[in-house]
Amino acid sequence: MDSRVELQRERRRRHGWWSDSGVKRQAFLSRRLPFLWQPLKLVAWKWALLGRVWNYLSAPSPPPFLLAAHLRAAHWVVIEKLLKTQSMLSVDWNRTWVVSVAGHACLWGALFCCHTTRAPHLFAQKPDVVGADARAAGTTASEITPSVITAAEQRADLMFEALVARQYLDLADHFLSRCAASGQYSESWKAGNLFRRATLLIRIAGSGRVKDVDARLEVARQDLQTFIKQNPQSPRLTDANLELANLRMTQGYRALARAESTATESAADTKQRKKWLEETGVAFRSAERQFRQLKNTLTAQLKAIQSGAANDVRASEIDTMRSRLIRARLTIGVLELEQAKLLRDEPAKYEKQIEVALEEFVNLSQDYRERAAGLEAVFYKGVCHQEAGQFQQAILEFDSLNSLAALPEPLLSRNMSHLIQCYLALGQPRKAISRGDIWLARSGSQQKTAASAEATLNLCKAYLAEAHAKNGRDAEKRTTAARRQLLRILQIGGKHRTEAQTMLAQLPIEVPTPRTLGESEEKVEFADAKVRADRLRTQMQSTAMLVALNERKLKTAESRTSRQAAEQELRQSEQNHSRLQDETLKSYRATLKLAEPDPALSESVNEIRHTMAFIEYERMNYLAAAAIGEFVATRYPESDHAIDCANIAMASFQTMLYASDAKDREFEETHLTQIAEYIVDQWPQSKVGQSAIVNLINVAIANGDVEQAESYLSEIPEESSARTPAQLRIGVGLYQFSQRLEAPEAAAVCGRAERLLTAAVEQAAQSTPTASLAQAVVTLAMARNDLGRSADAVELLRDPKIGPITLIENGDPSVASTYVVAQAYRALLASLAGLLALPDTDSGDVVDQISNVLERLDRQSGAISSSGTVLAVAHDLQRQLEEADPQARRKLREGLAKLLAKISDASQPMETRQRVVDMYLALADQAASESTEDAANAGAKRYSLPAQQIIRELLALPNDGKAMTENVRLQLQVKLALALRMAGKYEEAVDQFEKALNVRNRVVNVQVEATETYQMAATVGSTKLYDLAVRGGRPNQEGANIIWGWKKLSSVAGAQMSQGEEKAAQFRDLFFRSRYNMALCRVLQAERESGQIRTNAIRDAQQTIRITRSLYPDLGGDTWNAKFAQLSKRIVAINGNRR
Amino acid sequence: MICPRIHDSPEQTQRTRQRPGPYAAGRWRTVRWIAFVLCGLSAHLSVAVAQSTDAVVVKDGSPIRGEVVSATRTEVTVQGEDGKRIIPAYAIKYILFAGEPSSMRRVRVAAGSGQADKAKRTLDRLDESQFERLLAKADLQFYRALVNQQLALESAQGMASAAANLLRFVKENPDSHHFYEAAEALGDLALAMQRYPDAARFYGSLEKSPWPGLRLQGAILMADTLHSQGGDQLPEALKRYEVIIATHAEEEDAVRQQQVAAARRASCLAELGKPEEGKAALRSLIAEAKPTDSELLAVSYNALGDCHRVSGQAKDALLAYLHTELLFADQREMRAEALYQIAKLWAQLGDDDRSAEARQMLDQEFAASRWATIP
Repeated sequence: MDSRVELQRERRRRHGWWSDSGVKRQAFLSRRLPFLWQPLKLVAWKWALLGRVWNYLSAPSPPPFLLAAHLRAAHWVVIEKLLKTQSMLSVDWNRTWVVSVAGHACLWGALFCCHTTRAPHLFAQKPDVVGADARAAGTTASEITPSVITAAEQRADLMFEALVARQYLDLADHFLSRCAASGQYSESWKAGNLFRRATLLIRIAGSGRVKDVDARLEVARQDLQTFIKQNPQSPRLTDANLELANLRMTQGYRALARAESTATESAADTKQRKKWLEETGVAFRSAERQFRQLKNTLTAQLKAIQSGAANDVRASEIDTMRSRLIRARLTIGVLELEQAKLLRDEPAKYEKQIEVALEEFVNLSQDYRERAAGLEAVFYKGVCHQEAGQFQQAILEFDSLNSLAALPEPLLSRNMSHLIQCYLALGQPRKAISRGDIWLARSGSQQKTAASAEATLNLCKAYLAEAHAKNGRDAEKRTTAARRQLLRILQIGGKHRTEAQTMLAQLPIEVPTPRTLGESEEKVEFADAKVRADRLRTQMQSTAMLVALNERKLKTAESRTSRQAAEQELRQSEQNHSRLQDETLKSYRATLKLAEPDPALSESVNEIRHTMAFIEYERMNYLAAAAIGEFVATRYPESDHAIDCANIAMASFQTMLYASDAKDREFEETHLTQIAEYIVDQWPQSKVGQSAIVNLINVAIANGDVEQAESYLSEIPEESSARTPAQLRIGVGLYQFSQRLEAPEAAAVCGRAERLLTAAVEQAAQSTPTASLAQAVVTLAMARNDLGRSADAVELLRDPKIGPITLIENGDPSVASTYVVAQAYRALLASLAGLLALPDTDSGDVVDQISNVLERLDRQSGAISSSGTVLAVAHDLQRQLEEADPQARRKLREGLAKLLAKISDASQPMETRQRVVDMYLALADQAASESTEDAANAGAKRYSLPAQQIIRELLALPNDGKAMTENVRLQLQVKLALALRMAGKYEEAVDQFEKALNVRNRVVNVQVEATETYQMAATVGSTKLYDLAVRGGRPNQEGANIIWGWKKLSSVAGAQMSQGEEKAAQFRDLFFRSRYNMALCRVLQAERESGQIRTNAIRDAQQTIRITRSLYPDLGGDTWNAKFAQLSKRIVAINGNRR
Repeated sequence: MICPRIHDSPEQTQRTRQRPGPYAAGRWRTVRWIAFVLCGLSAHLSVAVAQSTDAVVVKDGSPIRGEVVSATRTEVTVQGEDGKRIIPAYAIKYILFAGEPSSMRRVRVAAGSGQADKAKRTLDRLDESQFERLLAKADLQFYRALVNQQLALESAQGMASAAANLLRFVKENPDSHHFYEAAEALGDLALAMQRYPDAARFYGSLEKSPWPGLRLQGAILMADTLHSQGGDQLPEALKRYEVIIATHAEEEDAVRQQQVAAARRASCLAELGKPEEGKAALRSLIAEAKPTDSELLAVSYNALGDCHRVSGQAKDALLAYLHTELLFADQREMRAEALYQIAKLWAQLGDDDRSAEARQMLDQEFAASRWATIP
C-alpha cells in the first residue's frame, strides 16, 4: 500500500481536524477566527508529530540505523517524518512555527529514546537505512530490490539536502560516513560522496561554529580536486568546478584578511604579511583559472545547445547555465580587481590590471544591465574608477545605481559606502551627507549588515569632516548625528566596531547651551530645553556604552601594559559618564521647570521623568529613582513610560531590600510589595508582571508566609511558563527559610519545602532541564538529607534524567553555572556523609564514593574555583566526620586535606587561608584522638604541618591595618603555637605563646593553652617541666612569669569568682580545672620521681586538694569531685608504694 | 472601465520604475521650503490680527477677544462682537492688550510660571512709551512689581523695595483686577520678612473677596502664617484649618482649597505630635489629586513626610519629601521645605554626602526661603 495513503488514513483516524470534515472546520476557523486558528494549528501539529514518532518507534519492524545514537536518532525520525508530511500537507518550511514544532518534537523524541524501556531493543537492531525505506514502502528487509535501492538513494539525497538546508551539518556529516560504510548503496552513488562531503565541509567552515576553518577548506579542496579528476564524466562536474573556484576565492580572501590584520611593522610581521599576500595572489590566480575554465565549458555547452546539438536540455537548465556563465564572468572581473589591489606598489602593473578588470565590467554591464550581475558590474566599474583615482566618474557610476528603486542589499549599502568615500576624497563631505542621509532614511538605518555598518561609518566620517569645517549649531548637529550613528554601529557589532568605538571616544563632550544651539536666551521654551537635554542624554548613552566596552577590554587585557592602558581608559570614560549623568539630570530638571500643566505635554514630561528615574537608579540613588518611578507608574498608568517606571521603582526597592539590614526591612518590604502588587494588578501578563509575582513570593517567603507565597502563585496562570519556575522558587525559598529556624520548627518547614519541591520538580522534569530545575533538585536533595533521607538525596542527585550530577557528567548546558555545580557536589558530599550516620550503611563503600567525588572535584578545579565553595564543602564534610567510624574517618580526612590544599596557596585571600588553617588544626586535633599513639602522633603531625607553613607565610606579611592587624598577628601566633604543639614541638610552641603573651598577658584562654603545653611537654620530657606547669615560666624583665601556670590561673579565676554570681559562673570551671591540674602535675611528678622531690610533690598535691575542699566542699560538682577522688586514690597508691 | 494611459511609452515605464533619486529629493526640499515660508507668512499675519484687539486669557487658557472697556478689583468688562461680557477677575490668567509689544506676553507667561529672571530680562528691554492705554500701563507696572517681588523672594535681597513697589501699585491702581494678586504677593513678602501681623493683614484682604475659592485661599494663608510661627500658634492654626475644612463648599476651586487645608492640617497635627491621624487622610488626598495639580500634591507629600518624620519613619519621610523635590519643580517654597528636611533625614540615616548635596542645593537655589535660613 502506498505509504502516503496509509499515512493519510492514519492522520484522519487520529486527528479529526485533518479529516475531510475537519477541512471545513479549518476553513471556517482560518477565515473567521484567524487569531484562534494559528495556535490551534500549532497544537495539532505537535500532537500529530508526536503520534508519528510514537508509531515509528513502536512498530514491529525496527527503525533504521538512525537510532544508533540517542539524540541524533530522534532528529532523524522527526526530520524524515516531516519530509514525508511536507509534500502531503503543503507545509511551508519557512514558517517559524514549523521549525519550532520540529524542535519540540526532536526534543521529546530524544527524551523518549533515551528513557523508554524499548530503547535497548531498538538500538540493538540492524543499523540499515534501507530497512526504514523498505518498511516505508510496505516491504521487509528481506525483500530489498534494485528499485528499493534506487528509492533509498533518492531518499538519502533528499535527506542529505534537507539536513544541510536546515543547518544540521554535523548530522549530515555523520549521515554521509554511515552511508559510505553501508553496503546498501551503489558504488556510483558513493562516488558522489567526495563532492557531497566537500560541499558540506565548506558549509561547516562557513558556519562560524568551528575553529579549524582553514584545515577544513583545505580538505574540501583536495576532495573536490580528486572528484574532478576521478569523475570527468560526472553530471556534477560543473558544480564541482564552481565549488572549487569559489573555495579558492574564499581561501584568497582569508589570506588577505590575515595579511591586513598583521598590525605592526616589525620585520617578522612584514615577512609574515608578505607570505600571506603571496598566498592570496596564488589563491586568486587559481580561482581565476578555475572560473575561466568554467566559463569556457559553459560557453561551449551553450553554443552546442544553440546550434541544436543538444535538444534534450530543458529551458530552465539553459537559464541556469547562462546565469552561471554571467556570474563566472563577473567573478573573473572581481578577481582581476583584487589582484590589481595587490599590485599597488607597482603603479604600471596596477593600472594595467585595473584596466583589464574595468573592461570586463564594462562588457558585462552593457550586455546584462537588466540582471543582478549587470548591476553589480556597474558597481565594480565605479570601484575600478575609484581605484584609479577617477572619483567623478566613479560617482557617476555609483549615483546611477543609487537612483534605482530595487537595488538589493548589500549592494545598496556597499554602493553608498563607496559613493561617500569618493565624495570625501574630493573634499565634499556635504554632498556625501546629503546622499547618506537619504540612504539612511530610505533603508540604511534598518540594515544590520557589515556593508551597512561600513557605509554608516563612512557617513560618520563625513559628518565629522563637516562638523570640523563648521561651528556653532551646525557643528553640534553634525556631531550629534555622528554620535547617534556610531552608537548604532556599536550595536550592530562586527569588524567596524573597534573603529566606531575609537571615533566615539574621540568625540568632544559638549554640554549644549542655548547659545551653542543658536537660540535666544529669552525664547527658551519647554520643547527647546527638552531637545537640548535629549542631546545630552544621547551623549550620556554613548559614554555608558564606552564604559561597558572598556570594562570588557579590561577583562580581556592580557599584558600588564595593556591592562594599565585599559584601566586608564575605563577611568576616563567613567568620569565622563558620571559628568554627563549630572549634566543630563540637571538639564532635565531645568526643562521640567518650564513645563506647564498642559495635558498635551504630559507624555513628554513623563518621558523626562522616566529618564531621570533611570539615571537616579544608575547613580544608585534608589530612593529618588523609586519616588519618580512610582509616581509615573501609579498616576499615569496609561502612559507608554508607566510600565518601565514601575519596573525601575520595583528594582530600586528590591536593591534596597537586598542591601538592608535583615532586622530592619519593613520599609523596603512594604514598598516592594505595594509596587509589585500594583504591577501585577495593572500588567498581569507582562514580563514585568511575572517578575513582580516572583518578588512578592520572595518577600512572602522571607517572612515565612508560605500561604501568602502560594496565593501569589495562584495568580500565575496554569499554562504560564512562569508558573513552574515560581513553584520551584517557593520550594527553594522555603528550604532556605527553614535553615534560619531552630529545631523542631526547622524540620517542619523543611518537610514542607521537600513536599513542595517534590511536586514542582516532577512537573518541571517533563520539559528540558534548566538551571532553575537543577538548583531546585539540589535543594530538594539537601532537604531530604536534612530530614534524614540521605539515600533518597543521593539517588535524586544521580537521577539519570534530572539528577544534577548526571547532567554535569554529561556536560548538559543546564548545569553550566559553576555555582550550581559546586552546590550539587556539596549536596552530594553532604548526603554521602549523611549516609555514614545511618545504621545499615556500608561505610567502606560510602567513603570510597566520597573519595571519588573529592577526586572528581579535584579535577574540576574550574567548577569549584571559588574558595568559598570549597570551604563550604569542607565544612560540611568536617561536620559529618564525627559520625563516621575510625576507618572511614581516616579516609575522609585524607580527602578533606586534598581539598584544602587547593585553596591554601598564597593567591587566596587572607581570610580564606585563616579558615584553612583552622580546618587543618581541627583535622590534626581529630587525628590526635586515634586509638593508637603512633597513629595519633603521625596524624596530628601530618595535618599540623601545612597549617604551620601557612601561618608562617601569613606572619611574614606586614601589618596593613585591614587584613593584617596586630590582633590578627596575635591570633596567628597562638594558632602557630597550637600547631607546633600538635606536631610535638613543645619548646617552639612555648616560644610562640611567650611572644603572644608578651604583648597581651591577660588573655586567659592563651594562658591556659600555654600552661597545658608545659604540662604536655613534661609528659615526654623532664619532670621539672611540671614545676613550670604549676608555677609558670618565662619571666619578663620585672621577674614576673609571662606564662602564668595553673597556680596563678587558679588565683585569677578565684579572684574573679568573688566578683559576683555572673563572674563566679563564668570562671568556676577554670578555677577547678586549674586546681585539679595543679594536683595532677604533682601526682605525675611524684610517680616519676623519688626521694625528697617525690615527698614534696605528694605533699603539694594533697595540700592543693585539701585547700580546694576547704574552700568549696563540693569540689566543683560531680564531675570535678569524681576527678579529685580519682586523684586522691592515685596519691594513696603512690604512698602505699613508698611504704 | 480603466482609461488607457496616454504616456505609457517604454521609456516612461522605465522612468516610473526608478525611485526618486537624490535630485528628486532636492526638488521636494524646495517645495517644502516654499510651503514653510508660506506658513510662516500666514502665521505672522494671524499674529498681527490677534494684536489688533484685546484678549482676556482665562485660567483654562482660552482667550476671550474684544476691547477691554473697564476693569475693577472683581471683574473685567470686554466689548466683543457679540456684545459685552463680564469676566470675574479671579478667573483671569492674563490680559493681552492691543498695541502693546508682543514680548509682554512672554513676560506674563514667565512671571506666571515662576521664571522671574526671564521675565525681568524681557521687561528691562521694554520701552514704556509703547504703552499708550492706561490699563496696559497699569498692567506693566504690576508685572514689574510682581517680578521684583519674585526676584526678591528668590535672592532674599531687596524685599523692602519690592514691597514698596507693590504698595505703590495698589495705591495708584486701587481698582485694578490685579488687586488680590498684589495683596497675596505682599503677604508673601511680609511672611518672608517674618512680619506676621502684616502678612495676616494682606492675606486677610483675600478673605474679603467675593469668590469662595479665593476666600478659602486667604483663610489658608492666614492659617499658614500661624502655622509657620509654630509653638503656641499651632493649636490656633489647626483650628483655622478645621474651620476651612468644615466650610460648606461646592465650587471645584473651593473644594480644592479645602483639600489643601486638609493637607496643611495633617502637617500641623504631626507637629502637635499626632502624626497617625494625618497619614491615612493624606494617602487618600494624594490618590485623589490630579497628577497635574502640583501644588496640592507637593503640599500633601510634604505633610506626609512630616507625619512619617515625627513617627520616626525616616525612610518613609525621605521618600515623601523626595516626591516634592523631584517632581514638582514649580513649587518653590514646598521644594525648599522638602530639601531642608531631606538634608536632615539623610544625615540621620548616615549618608552625609547626600545630606550635604541637598543642603547645598537648598542654599543655592532657595537662598531667600525661610528654610535656607534655618541651620
